[in-house]
Amino acid sequence: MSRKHRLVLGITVGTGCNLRCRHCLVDKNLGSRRITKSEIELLVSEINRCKPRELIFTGGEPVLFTGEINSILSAIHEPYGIYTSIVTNGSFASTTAAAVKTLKSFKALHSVQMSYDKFHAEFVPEACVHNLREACRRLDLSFGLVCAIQAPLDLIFLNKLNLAGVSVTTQKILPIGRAKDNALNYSYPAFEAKVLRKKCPNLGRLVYNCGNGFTTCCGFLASKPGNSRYVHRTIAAHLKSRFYELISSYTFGGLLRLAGLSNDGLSPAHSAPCALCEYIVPGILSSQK
Amino acid sequence: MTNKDKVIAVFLVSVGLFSVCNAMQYVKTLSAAQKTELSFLAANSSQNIGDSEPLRVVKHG
Ligand code: SF4
Ligand code: SF4
Repeated sequence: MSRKHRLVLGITVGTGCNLRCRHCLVDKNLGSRRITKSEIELLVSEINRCKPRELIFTGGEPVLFTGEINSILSAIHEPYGIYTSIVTNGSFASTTAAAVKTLKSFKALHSVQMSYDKFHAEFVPEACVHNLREACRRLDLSFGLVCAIQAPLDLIFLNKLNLAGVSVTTQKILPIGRAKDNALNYSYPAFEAKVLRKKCPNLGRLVYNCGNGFTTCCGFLASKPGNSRYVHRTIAAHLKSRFYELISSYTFGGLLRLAGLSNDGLSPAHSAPCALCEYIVPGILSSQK
Repeated sequence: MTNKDKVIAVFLVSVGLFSVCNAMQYVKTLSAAQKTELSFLAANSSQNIGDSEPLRVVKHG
């Protein structure tokens, strides 16, 4: 398989974290606190078989699971060169030297994505962003920011952060996990019909959620209690599932028709693909049991 | 809509935060100071910002 067609695999190594952000999307049903040894064995055999082009270690806070991440990286067969990233809260970057030390503790690393926004800023000083960026520059790693937002105005803190040249990925907050408990959500003034022409935006990517399994879903469905229709023990089982067939074959408009639902029930919140997906897909799967 | 409003609306659409109609509606709700901040952001970082919808695997929170 050509490199471009190989999948991107996200790995939730543990949901444990040293912070407690108000908007945290890590739901208690998403995964376990820490990946186990037997899961690492399964994961490694799947990685060696499927040869993903990219591994993204996430959490919780992946820096708390460096040992587990290194066990995975050490057991992967070379030489196909997997691009490796972490998504971190960067709280370890109290100084550039501390950040360099932590980043060097990973057996392989190409890219660091730091989650930083008004919510993380309640715990993590701005200096950590600059220290981590500088550490990445010294170690020749790519560096980017991930900003969770409720509205576009939440991005204006970037004006004073002065991060010219740093790539910023925005993440519209969905009502999952603590974001749901705290009534935090990205709000749309009106329903955006263009979502009906889209498919699940996570196609081409899979996530392994420790304690649960492999899934395309990193949104609502994977966080549902009793999520066995959406999450599977192996990649092959997931790709053969009715759930995967549905989300990979149909646009949301197609799914809506398949479910026999009309557009009348759609609200502004359904402009978010995951919200629309949650509205449609569980019903289709239940009716086809 | 002023030119500044249009610049902000185009920015919001181009980085994937809203569709055109919602971007225009959203801009109408902003104060002058907020518009200044957002147009500064648009002028300085639009090439570097992209939306990850929904969470992709960057779901750290
Ligand atoms: S909720 Fe649906 S659209 Fe969102 S990531 Fe999961 S499968 Fe994809
Ligand atoms: S959002 Fe990220 S840093 Fe904050 S509590 Fe959740 S996992 Fe931890």
